[in-house]
Amino acid sequence: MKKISLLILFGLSYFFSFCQVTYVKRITFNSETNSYYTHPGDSNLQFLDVSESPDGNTFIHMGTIRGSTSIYKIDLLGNIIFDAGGGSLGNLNTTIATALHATPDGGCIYATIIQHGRRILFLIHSLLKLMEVVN
Amino acid sequence: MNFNTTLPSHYSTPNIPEQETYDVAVLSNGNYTCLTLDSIYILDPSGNVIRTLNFRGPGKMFGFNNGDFYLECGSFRGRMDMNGNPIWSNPSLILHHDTTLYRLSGNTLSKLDGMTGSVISSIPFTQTGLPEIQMLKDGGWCVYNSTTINRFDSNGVSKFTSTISLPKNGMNYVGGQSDGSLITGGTYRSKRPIFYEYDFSSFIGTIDTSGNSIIDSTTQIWPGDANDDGIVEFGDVVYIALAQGSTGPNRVDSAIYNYNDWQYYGGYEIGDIGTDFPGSFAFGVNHKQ
Repeated sequence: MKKISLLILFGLSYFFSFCQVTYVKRITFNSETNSYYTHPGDSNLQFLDVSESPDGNTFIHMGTIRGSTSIYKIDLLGNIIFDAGGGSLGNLNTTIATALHATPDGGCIYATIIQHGRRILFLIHSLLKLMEVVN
Repeated sequence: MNFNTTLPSHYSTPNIPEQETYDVAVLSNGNYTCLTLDSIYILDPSGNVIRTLNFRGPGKMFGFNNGDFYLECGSFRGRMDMNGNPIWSNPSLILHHDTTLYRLSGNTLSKLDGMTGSVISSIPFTQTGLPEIQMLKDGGWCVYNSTTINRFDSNGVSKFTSTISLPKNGMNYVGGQSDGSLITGGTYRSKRPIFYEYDFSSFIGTIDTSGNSIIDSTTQIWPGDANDDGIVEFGDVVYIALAQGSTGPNRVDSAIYNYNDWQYYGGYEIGDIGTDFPGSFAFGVNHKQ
Protein backbone atom coordinates (compact mmCIF):
# COMPACT_ATOMS: atom_id res chain seq x y z
CA MET A 1 0.00 0.00 0.00
CA LYS A 2 2.84 2.34 0.87
CA LYS A 3 4.50 1.64 -2.47
CA ILE A 4 1.25 2.32 -4.34
CA SER A 5 0.80 5.61 -2.47
CA LEU A 6 4.35 6.62 -3.30
CA LEU A 7 3.79 5.66 -6.93
CA ILE A 8 0.62 7.77 -7.09
CA LEU A 9 2.43 10.67 -5.40
CA PHE A 10 5.31 10.40 -7.85
CA GLY A 11 2.87 10.23 -10.77
CA LEU A 12 1.01 13.34 -9.62
CA SER A 13 4.25 15.21 -9.00
CA TYR A 14 5.49 14.26 -12.48
CA PHE A 15 2.20 15.35 -14.06
CA PHE A 16 2.07 18.70 -12.31
CA SER A 17 5.75 19.40 -12.96
CA PHE A 18 4.88 19.49 -16.68
CA CYS A 19 1.50 21.17 -16.25
CA GLN A 20 1.33 24.38 -18.21
CA VAL A 21 -1.13 27.13 -17.44
CA THR A 22 -2.39 29.10 -20.41
CA TYR A 23 -3.80 32.55 -20.03
CA VAL A 24 -4.75 35.78 -21.75
CA LYS A 25 -3.96 38.95 -19.83
CA ARG A 26 -4.22 42.64 -20.36
CA ILE A 27 -0.79 44.17 -19.89
CA THR A 28 -1.31 47.87 -20.25
CA PHE A 29 -3.38 50.61 -21.73
CA ASN A 30 -1.90 52.56 -24.58
CA SER A 31 -0.37 55.73 -23.21
CA GLU A 32 -0.69 57.54 -26.53
CA THR A 33 -4.40 58.36 -26.50
CA ASN A 34 -6.13 60.60 -29.02
CA SER A 35 -3.52 59.95 -31.70
CA TYR A 36 -5.48 57.42 -33.77
CA TYR A 37 -5.73 59.79 -36.72
CA THR A 38 -2.45 61.68 -36.39
CA HIS A 39 -0.32 58.58 -35.74
CA PRO A 40 -2.30 55.41 -36.47
CA GLY A 41 0.75 53.34 -35.60
CA ASP A 42 0.35 54.39 -31.98
CA SER A 43 -2.73 52.20 -31.75
CA ASN A 44 -0.68 49.17 -32.72
CA LEU A 45 0.84 47.81 -29.53
CA GLN A 46 3.11 45.13 -30.90
CA PHE A 47 4.62 42.15 -29.20
CA LEU A 48 8.21 42.98 -30.12
CA ASP A 49 10.54 40.50 -28.46
CA VAL A 50 10.88 37.67 -25.97
CA SER A 51 13.90 36.45 -24.03
CA GLU A 52 13.91 33.48 -21.66
CA SER A 53 15.54 34.21 -18.33
CA PRO A 54 17.72 31.42 -16.85
CA ASP A 55 15.50 31.48 -13.74
CA GLY A 56 12.53 30.21 -15.79
CA ASN A 57 10.77 33.54 -16.16
CA THR A 58 10.39 35.52 -19.36
CA PHE A 59 11.27 39.02 -20.50
CA ILE A 60 8.84 40.53 -22.99
CA HIS A 61 9.03 43.78 -24.93
CA MET A 62 5.80 45.44 -26.02
CA GLY A 63 5.09 48.78 -27.56
CA THR A 64 4.34 50.94 -30.54
CA ILE A 65 6.31 51.51 -33.71
CA ARG A 66 7.18 55.11 -32.80
CA GLY A 67 8.94 53.97 -29.67
CA SER A 68 6.67 54.00 -26.65
CA THR A 69 7.57 50.55 -25.33
CA SER A 70 7.81 48.58 -22.11
CA ILE A 71 10.01 45.68 -21.07
CA TYR A 72 8.53 43.42 -18.41
CA LYS A 73 9.77 40.40 -16.59
CA ILE A 74 6.85 38.01 -16.16
CA ASP A 75 6.46 34.60 -14.57
CA LEU A 76 4.88 31.59 -16.28
CA LEU A 77 1.42 32.68 -15.07
CA GLY A 78 1.78 36.05 -16.76
CA ASN A 79 2.28 38.00 -13.53
CA ILE A 80 4.57 40.99 -13.91
CA ILE A 81 7.60 40.57 -11.67
CA PHE A 82 9.09 43.92 -12.54
CA ASP A 83 9.05 46.61 -15.18
CA ALA A 84 12.49 46.99 -16.72
CA GLY A 85 11.93 50.25 -18.58
CA GLY A 86 11.88 50.49 -22.35
CA GLY A 87 11.35 53.20 -24.93
CA SER A 88 9.55 56.49 -24.48
CA LEU A 89 7.96 59.03 -26.74
CA GLY A 90 8.26 62.72 -25.98
CA ASN A 91 7.88 66.00 -27.82
CA LEU A 92 11.61 66.60 -27.94
CA ASN A 93 13.22 63.25 -27.20
CA THR A 94 12.32 59.77 -28.30
CA THR A 95 14.00 56.75 -26.78
CA ILE A 96 13.85 53.55 -28.78
CA ALA A 97 14.71 50.30 -27.00
CA THR A 98 16.10 47.36 -28.97
CA ALA A 99 18.06 44.11 -28.68
CA LEU A 100 16.57 42.72 -25.46
CA HIS A 101 18.43 39.79 -23.88
CA ALA A 102 18.08 38.12 -20.50
CA THR A 103 21.30 37.91 -18.50
CA PRO A 104 22.48 35.03 -16.24
CA ASP A 105 21.83 37.04 -13.04
CA GLY A 106 18.09 37.25 -13.67
CA GLY A 107 18.27 40.71 -15.18
CA CYS A 108 18.33 41.87 -18.75
CA ILE A 109 20.34 43.98 -21.11
CA TYR A 110 19.02 46.13 -23.91
CA ALA A 111 20.12 49.04 -26.03
CA THR A 112 18.45 52.42 -26.33
CA ILE A 113 18.76 55.09 -28.96
CA ILE A 114 17.81 58.59 -27.88
CA GLN A 115 16.71 60.76 -30.78
CA HIS A 116 16.80 64.49 -30.08
CA GLY A 117 14.56 66.95 -31.83
CA ARG A 118 11.36 66.54 -33.77
CA ARG A 119 13.51 65.45 -36.67
CA ILE A 120 16.44 63.20 -36.02
CA LEU A 121 19.20 65.72 -35.48
CA PHE A 122 21.54 63.46 -33.64
CA LEU A 123 21.44 60.26 -31.72
CA ILE A 124 22.83 59.31 -28.38
CA HIS A 125 23.21 55.64 -27.91
CA SER A 126 23.21 53.73 -24.67
CA LEU A 127 23.50 50.18 -23.50
CA LEU A 128 21.54 49.54 -20.36
CA LYS A 129 21.89 46.65 -17.98
CA LEU A 130 19.20 46.07 -15.40
CA MET A 131 19.18 43.53 -12.62
CA GLU A 132 16.12 42.16 -10.96
CA VAL A 133 14.59 44.43 -8.36
CA VAL A 134 13.65 42.46 -5.25
CA ASN A 135 11.13 44.13 -2.99
CA MET B 1 25.85 44.92 -11.71
CA ASN B 2 23.82 47.65 -13.36
CA PHE B 3 25.35 50.01 -15.88
CA ASN B 4 24.33 52.55 -18.44
CA THR B 5 27.05 52.91 -21.03
CA THR B 6 27.00 55.43 -23.84
CA LEU B 7 28.81 54.00 -26.82
CA PRO B 8 31.15 56.09 -29.01
CA SER B 9 29.38 58.05 -31.73
CA HIS B 10 29.76 57.39 -35.42
CA TYR B 11 30.06 60.27 -37.93
CA SER B 12 28.88 59.36 -41.41
CA THR B 13 28.06 63.08 -41.86
CA PRO B 14 30.50 65.63 -40.36
CA ASN B 15 29.38 67.09 -37.02
CA ILE B 16 26.29 64.86 -36.80
CA PRO B 17 26.90 62.09 -34.30
CA GLU B 18 24.91 58.93 -34.70
CA GLN B 19 24.96 55.35 -33.54
CA GLU B 20 22.73 52.33 -33.78
CA THR B 21 22.75 48.96 -32.04
CA TYR B 22 21.41 46.03 -33.97
CA ASP B 23 21.98 43.27 -31.44
CA VAL B 24 23.53 42.48 -28.09
CA ALA B 25 25.01 39.15 -26.95
CA VAL B 26 25.73 37.91 -23.45
CA LEU B 27 29.14 36.19 -23.29
CA SER B 28 30.01 33.37 -20.91
CA ASN B 29 32.76 35.26 -19.06
CA GLY B 30 30.33 37.97 -17.96
CA ASN B 31 31.22 40.27 -20.83
CA TYR B 32 28.76 41.63 -23.35
CA THR B 33 29.16 42.33 -27.02
CA CYS B 34 27.06 44.50 -29.27
CA LEU B 35 26.86 44.93 -33.02
CA THR B 36 26.49 48.57 -33.97
CA LEU B 37 26.54 50.88 -36.96
CA ASP B 38 30.32 51.21 -36.99
CA SER B 39 31.84 48.37 -34.91
CA ILE B 40 31.42 45.44 -32.61
CA TYR B 41 32.03 46.61 -29.07
CA ILE B 42 32.96 44.20 -26.28
CA LEU B 43 32.12 45.40 -22.78
CA ASP B 44 33.25 44.05 -19.43
CA PRO B 45 30.70 43.17 -16.70
CA SER B 46 30.80 46.80 -15.51
CA GLY B 47 29.89 48.14 -18.93
CA ASN B 48 33.34 49.46 -19.90
CA VAL B 49 34.31 49.08 -23.55
CA ILE B 50 37.36 46.83 -23.54
CA ARG B 51 37.69 45.94 -27.21
CA THR B 52 36.46 47.05 -30.61
CA LEU B 53 36.21 44.78 -33.63
CA ASN B 54 35.96 45.96 -37.19
CA PHE B 55 32.53 44.62 -38.16
CA ARG B 56 29.45 46.70 -38.91
CA GLY B 57 25.74 46.10 -38.60
CA PRO B 58 22.97 45.63 -39.42
CA GLY B 59 22.94 42.03 -38.36
CA LYS B 60 22.51 39.82 -35.34
CA MET B 61 24.65 37.94 -32.85
CA PHE B 62 24.57 35.69 -29.79
CA GLY B 63 27.18 34.26 -27.44
CA PHE B 64 28.54 30.72 -27.10
CA ASN B 65 29.61 29.15 -23.83
CA ASN B 66 33.36 29.60 -24.39
CA GLY B 67 33.23 33.32 -25.13
CA ASP B 68 32.97 32.97 -28.91
CA PHE B 69 29.95 34.47 -30.62
CA TYR B 70 27.78 33.82 -33.64
CA LEU B 71 27.62 36.75 -36.01
CA GLU B 72 25.52 37.65 -39.02
CA CYS B 73 26.53 40.87 -40.72
CA GLY B 74 27.22 41.77 -44.30
CA SER B 75 27.96 38.55 -46.14
CA PHE B 76 29.30 36.74 -43.05
CA ARG B 77 27.26 34.13 -41.17
CA GLY B 78 29.22 32.06 -38.72
CA ARG B 79 31.22 31.78 -35.54
CA MET B 80 33.88 34.23 -34.38
CA ASP B 81 36.29 34.09 -31.48
CA MET B 82 36.62 37.01 -29.07
CA ASN B 83 39.39 38.51 -31.20
CA GLY B 84 37.24 38.63 -34.30
CA ASN B 85 38.82 35.62 -36.05
CA PRO B 86 36.31 33.54 -38.06
CA ILE B 87 36.04 29.90 -36.91
CA TRP B 88 33.50 28.80 -39.50
CA SER B 89 30.95 30.37 -41.80
CA ASN B 90 27.91 29.15 -43.70
CA PRO B 91 26.04 31.12 -46.38
CA SER B 92 22.66 29.39 -45.77
CA LEU B 93 19.85 30.66 -43.58
CA ILE B 94 20.86 29.92 -39.98
CA LEU B 95 18.20 29.56 -37.32
CA HIS B 96 18.83 29.05 -33.64
CA HIS B 97 17.39 28.57 -30.19
CA ASP B 98 19.85 29.77 -27.59
CA THR B 99 23.16 28.33 -28.84
CA THR B 100 21.66 25.39 -30.77
CA LEU B 101 22.06 26.11 -34.46
CA TYR B 102 20.10 24.91 -37.46
CA ARG B 103 20.59 25.44 -41.18
CA LEU B 104 17.53 25.75 -43.39
CA SER B 105 18.28 24.91 -46.99
CA GLY B 106 15.31 24.31 -49.28
CA ASN B 107 13.05 21.79 -47.58
CA THR B 108 15.76 20.44 -45.29
CA LEU B 109 16.44 21.55 -41.74
CA SER B 110 19.86 20.48 -40.47
CA LYS B 111 21.12 20.67 -36.92
CA LEU B 112 24.66 22.05 -36.84
CA ASP B 113 27.61 21.39 -34.60
CA GLY B 114 28.15 24.82 -33.07
CA MET B 115 31.92 24.29 -32.76
CA THR B 116 32.58 23.33 -36.39
CA GLY B 117 29.46 24.35 -38.29
CA SER B 118 29.16 20.84 -39.74
CA VAL B 119 25.81 19.05 -40.07
CA ILE B 120 24.87 16.65 -37.25
CA SER B 121 21.46 15.52 -38.52
CA SER B 122 18.79 16.54 -41.02
CA ILE B 123 15.02 16.29 -41.23
CA PRO B 124 12.48 17.46 -43.82
CA PHE B 125 11.15 20.96 -43.21
CA THR B 126 7.51 21.30 -44.18
CA GLN B 127 6.95 24.58 -45.96
CA THR B 128 3.53 25.79 -44.83
CA GLY B 129 3.58 29.21 -46.44
CA LEU B 130 3.78 30.92 -43.05
CA PRO B 131 6.68 33.36 -43.29
CA GLU B 132 8.08 33.60 -39.76
CA ILE B 133 10.06 30.78 -38.12
CA GLN B 134 10.88 30.45 -34.42
CA MET B 135 13.07 27.58 -33.22
CA LEU B 136 12.08 26.20 -29.81
CA LYS B 137 13.73 24.66 -26.79
CA ASP B 138 12.66 21.05 -27.55
CA GLY B 139 14.23 21.12 -31.02
CA GLY B 140 10.86 21.76 -32.63
CA TRP B 141 9.77 25.00 -34.18
CA CYS B 142 6.75 27.10 -34.96
CA VAL B 143 5.92 28.99 -38.11
CA TYR B 144 3.44 31.83 -38.03
CA ASN B 145 1.92 34.82 -39.70
CA SER B 146 -0.33 37.54 -38.31
CA THR B 147 -3.21 35.16 -37.51
CA THR B 148 -1.98 31.55 -37.53
CA ILE B 149 0.61 29.54 -35.60
CA ASN B 150 1.67 26.06 -36.69
CA ARG B 151 3.89 24.17 -34.24
CA PHE B 152 6.12 21.24 -35.21
CA ASP B 153 8.00 18.77 -33.03
CA SER B 154 11.70 17.98 -33.42
CA ASN B 155 10.89 15.33 -36.07
CA GLY B 156 9.05 17.82 -38.23
CA VAL B 157 5.61 16.44 -37.35
CA SER B 158 2.88 19.08 -37.02
CA LYS B 159 1.55 19.17 -33.44
CA PHE B 160 -1.14 21.81 -33.81
CA THR B 161 -2.36 24.80 -35.73
CA SER B 162 -3.89 27.67 -33.83
CA THR B 163 -5.80 30.58 -35.34
CA ILE B 164 -5.91 33.72 -33.23
CA SER B 165 -8.21 36.60 -34.06
CA LEU B 166 -7.88 38.69 -30.89
CA PRO B 167 -4.95 40.91 -31.95
CA LYS B 168 -6.57 43.77 -33.82
CA ASN B 169 -3.45 44.35 -35.90
CA GLY B 170 -2.37 40.72 -35.98
CA MET B 171 0.50 38.95 -34.25
CA ASN B 172 3.96 40.03 -35.23
CA TYR B 173 6.04 37.85 -32.91
CA VAL B 174 5.75 34.47 -31.20
CA GLY B 175 8.32 33.34 -28.65
CA GLY B 176 9.02 30.30 -26.50
CA GLN B 177 9.05 30.12 -22.69
CA SER B 178 11.06 27.96 -20.32
CA ASP B 179 8.22 25.43 -19.89
CA GLY B 180 7.91 24.95 -23.67
CA SER B 181 4.77 27.04 -24.04
CA LEU B 182 4.45 29.72 -26.70
CA ILE B 183 3.79 33.35 -25.85
CA THR B 184 2.45 36.08 -28.09
CA GLY B 185 0.49 39.28 -27.75
CA GLY B 186 -0.87 42.31 -29.48
CA THR B 187 -3.49 45.04 -29.38
CA TYR B 188 -7.19 45.08 -28.66
CA ARG B 189 -9.50 48.06 -28.70
CA SER B 190 -10.16 49.08 -25.12
CA LYS B 191 -12.35 52.10 -25.73
CA ARG B 192 -15.14 52.82 -28.15
CA PRO B 193 -14.78 55.75 -30.51
CA ILE B 194 -16.38 58.61 -28.61
CA PHE B 195 -15.88 62.04 -30.16
CA TYR B 196 -13.39 60.45 -32.55
CA GLU B 197 -11.28 59.11 -29.72
CA TYR B 198 -10.08 55.55 -29.74
CA ASP B 199 -7.90 53.76 -27.28
CA PHE B 200 -6.12 50.46 -27.31
CA SER B 201 -4.63 48.05 -24.82
CA SER B 202 -2.00 45.39 -25.10
CA PHE B 203 -2.40 41.77 -24.07
CA ILE B 204 -0.26 38.68 -23.80
CA GLY B 205 -1.36 35.06 -24.02
CA THR B 206 0.15 31.59 -24.06
CA ILE B 207 -0.37 28.29 -25.87
CA ASP B 208 0.85 25.11 -24.19
CA THR B 209 2.91 22.42 -25.90
CA SER B 210 -0.24 20.47 -26.86
CA GLY B 211 -1.90 23.48 -28.47
CA ASN B 212 -4.29 24.15 -25.59
CA SER B 213 -5.02 27.82 -25.17
CA ILE B 214 -7.78 30.23 -24.34
CA ILE B 215 -6.52 32.84 -26.81
CA ASP B 216 -8.35 31.25 -29.73
CA SER B 217 -11.69 31.49 -27.88
CA THR B 218 -11.03 34.97 -26.48
CA THR B 219 -12.42 38.03 -28.23
CA GLN B 220 -13.07 41.70 -27.70
CA ILE B 221 -16.30 42.36 -25.80
CA TRP B 222 -18.15 45.43 -24.56
CA PRO B 223 -19.57 44.98 -21.05
CA GLY B 224 -23.33 45.37 -21.08
CA ASP B 225 -23.65 44.79 -24.81
CA ALA B 226 -25.19 41.35 -24.25
CA ASN B 227 -26.41 40.82 -27.82
CA ASP B 228 -23.14 42.11 -29.35
CA ASP B 229 -24.79 44.63 -31.65
CA GLY B 230 -22.37 47.41 -30.73
CA ILE B 231 -24.83 49.37 -28.57
CA VAL B 232 -25.52 49.10 -24.86
CA GLU B 233 -29.28 49.66 -24.68
CA PHE B 234 -32.40 48.59 -22.82
CA GLY B 235 -32.81 45.55 -25.10
CA ASP B 236 -29.60 44.08 -23.70
CA VAL B 237 -31.41 43.57 -20.40
CA VAL B 238 -33.53 40.87 -22.08
CA TYR B 239 -30.44 38.98 -23.17
CA ILE B 240 -28.82 39.39 -19.77
CA ALA B 241 -31.99 37.85 -18.27
CA LEU B 242 -31.94 34.99 -20.80
CA ALA B 243 -28.33 34.19 -19.94
CA GLN B 244 -28.89 34.18 -16.18
CA GLY B 245 -27.08 31.23 -14.58
CA SER B 246 -24.69 30.78 -17.49
CA THR B 247 -21.15 30.68 -16.15
CA GLY B 248 -17.68 30.59 -17.62
CA PRO B 249 -14.14 31.85 -17.20
CA ASN B 250 -13.66 35.07 -15.25
CA ARG B 251 -12.46 38.10 -17.12
CA VAL B 252 -9.01 38.26 -15.61
CA ASP B 253 -7.76 41.82 -15.21
CA SER B 254 -11.09 43.17 -16.38
CA ALA B 255 -11.25 46.92 -16.47
CA ILE B 256 -14.67 46.68 -14.85
CA TYR B 257 -13.04 45.65 -11.60
CA ASN B 258 -10.38 48.33 -11.79
CA TYR B 259 -12.06 51.40 -10.36
CA ASN B 260 -9.43 53.81 -11.65
CA ASP B 261 -9.78 52.61 -15.24
CA TRP B 262 -13.54 52.55 -14.96
CA GLN B 263 -13.67 56.06 -13.54
CA TYR B 264 -11.18 57.41 -16.08
CA TYR B 265 -13.20 56.19 -19.00
CA GLY B 266 -16.55 57.31 -17.69
CA GLY B 267 -17.66 53.86 -16.71
CA TYR B 268 -19.63 52.95 -19.81
CA GLU B 269 -17.45 52.87 -22.87
CA ILE B 270 -14.50 50.70 -21.93
CA GLY B 271 -13.83 47.33 -23.53
CA ASP B 272 -12.72 43.98 -22.16
CA ILE B 273 -11.52 40.68 -23.49
CA GLY B 274 -13.54 37.62 -22.61
CA THR B 275 -13.14 33.87 -23.08
CA ASP B 276 -16.10 31.88 -24.44
CA PHE B 277 -18.70 30.49 -22.02
CA PRO B 278 -20.12 27.03 -22.79
CA GLY B 279 -23.51 28.56 -23.64
CA SER B 280 -24.60 30.73 -26.56
CA PHE B 281 -27.80 32.43 -27.69
CA ALA B 282 -29.73 30.84 -30.56
CA PHE B 283 -28.43 33.50 -32.95
CA GLY B 284 -24.84 32.53 -32.20
CA VAL B 285 -23.60 35.21 -29.80
CA ASN B 286 -21.78 33.72 -26.83
CA HIS B 287 -23.06 34.25 -23.28
CA LYS B 288 -19.71 35.76 -22.25
CA GLN B 289 -20.92 39.12 -23.56
